[in-house]
Amino acid sequence: MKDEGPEGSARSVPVTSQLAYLVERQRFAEAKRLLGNLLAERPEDPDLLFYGAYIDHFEKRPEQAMETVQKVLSLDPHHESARRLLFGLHNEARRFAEAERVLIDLIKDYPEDADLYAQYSMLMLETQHLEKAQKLAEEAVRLAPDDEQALLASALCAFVADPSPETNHRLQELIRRYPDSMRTLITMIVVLADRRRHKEALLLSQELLRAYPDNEDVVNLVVALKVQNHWSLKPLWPMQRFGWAGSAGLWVVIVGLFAVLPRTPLAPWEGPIFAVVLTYIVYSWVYPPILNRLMRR
Amino acid sequence: MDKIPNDLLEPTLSAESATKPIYSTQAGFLLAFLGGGLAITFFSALNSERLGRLVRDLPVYLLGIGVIAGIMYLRVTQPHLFEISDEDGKTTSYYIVAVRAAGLLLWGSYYWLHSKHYRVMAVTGTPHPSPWLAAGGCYLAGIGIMNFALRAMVAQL
Repeated sequence: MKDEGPEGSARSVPVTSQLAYLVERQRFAEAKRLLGNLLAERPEDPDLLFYGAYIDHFEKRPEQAMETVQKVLSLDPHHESARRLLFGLHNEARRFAEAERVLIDLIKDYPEDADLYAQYSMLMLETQHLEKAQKLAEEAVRLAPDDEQALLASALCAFVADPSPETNHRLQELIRRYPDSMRTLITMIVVLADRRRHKEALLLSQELLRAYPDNEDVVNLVVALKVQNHWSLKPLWPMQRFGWAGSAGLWVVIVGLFAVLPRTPLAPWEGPIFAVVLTYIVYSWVYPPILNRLMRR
Repeated sequence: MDKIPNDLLEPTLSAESATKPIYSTQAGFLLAFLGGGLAITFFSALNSERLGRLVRDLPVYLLGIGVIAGIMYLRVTQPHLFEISDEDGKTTSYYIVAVRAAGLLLWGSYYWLHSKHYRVMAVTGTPHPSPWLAAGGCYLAGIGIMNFALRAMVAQL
């Protein structure tokens, strides 16, 4: 929703177009000044009020944005942009049932809008209704085979069903069509990290950081992946490569080792070997979080 | 344009039916390791409940409980299966190791059962809830029931 411009509601009033221009380019200080002047003349104009709500939403004042959106919808119940923003506000506040209601009404009014199906698919995905998410994503792709949101929803549903990136044709299509999109890159990083291909995931996340240096989520992602790739964590390779199954396997190996050790010529070394194993276990638990904190500085 | 499939536009969510995020695999792994198979079965059942699929997953959990009960039964009736003697005649019991190994195997199976849901949480960036209370409760219940059942089996045989 944040990426969505408010242009949908811009009507043919020149000053409102100027306002739309400022809001689209996120020049909010100027937009607010202009909006203040316009609202003094037309305090009940739904479009002007919507821009106010949009700015509030963007500047992270969801309560104010919600109040204004509801005012817009009381003046104009069919205001499309306000309804889309209302969905976004409910969704971000995790009021999923309300978000779904708004979205279904929007789809009924705009049945050919692939983005709406894609958003509904993402909502179903987030609320763990995987089958419906898949059907909605397919519907979105059917309506607009090249649409970024539709391809993204479909790629994510395909990833959830089968995490192998090689068989995810929608992800490949998304990468081919929108190689520089932030959402494409984040999806690829998630997929690669899930497959424990941390090196490739780090390279991509660094690309992403170059494009979005102020995005805190991207910074956190890069730090987490840098930690995974740090040379001092190489001894933890079994856990990094195989995850918790690696930890379980390692435990079985250690138990087996200490079961047979007394019957081998290494028996006198049981104490030092135990100390080494214990040090390794403590290091595997304590060191990665410390490194994570150090890298964040 | 083709007609939109009706079922797609039927509301799915309500305040009551909303699913909740599930506990992390890390919490499950530690609980399986420390508390064994019964504790991780209870813990995973809580995850199923949070996902609204407890009834669907119940046969798997009953099978898991059966595995643990089988290990306990063998411990009582065939204790030598869990014992290794060294050259000096010293015997070491590996019953706890077997319980832990079974716990980890069950944890892996339960993870597989919910793997799609874990992937959804990864792609949507949904945080896992704090596991302390649930894991602590499952640990106490798992260990307590296993000890009680073991004593009951010994008393019966």
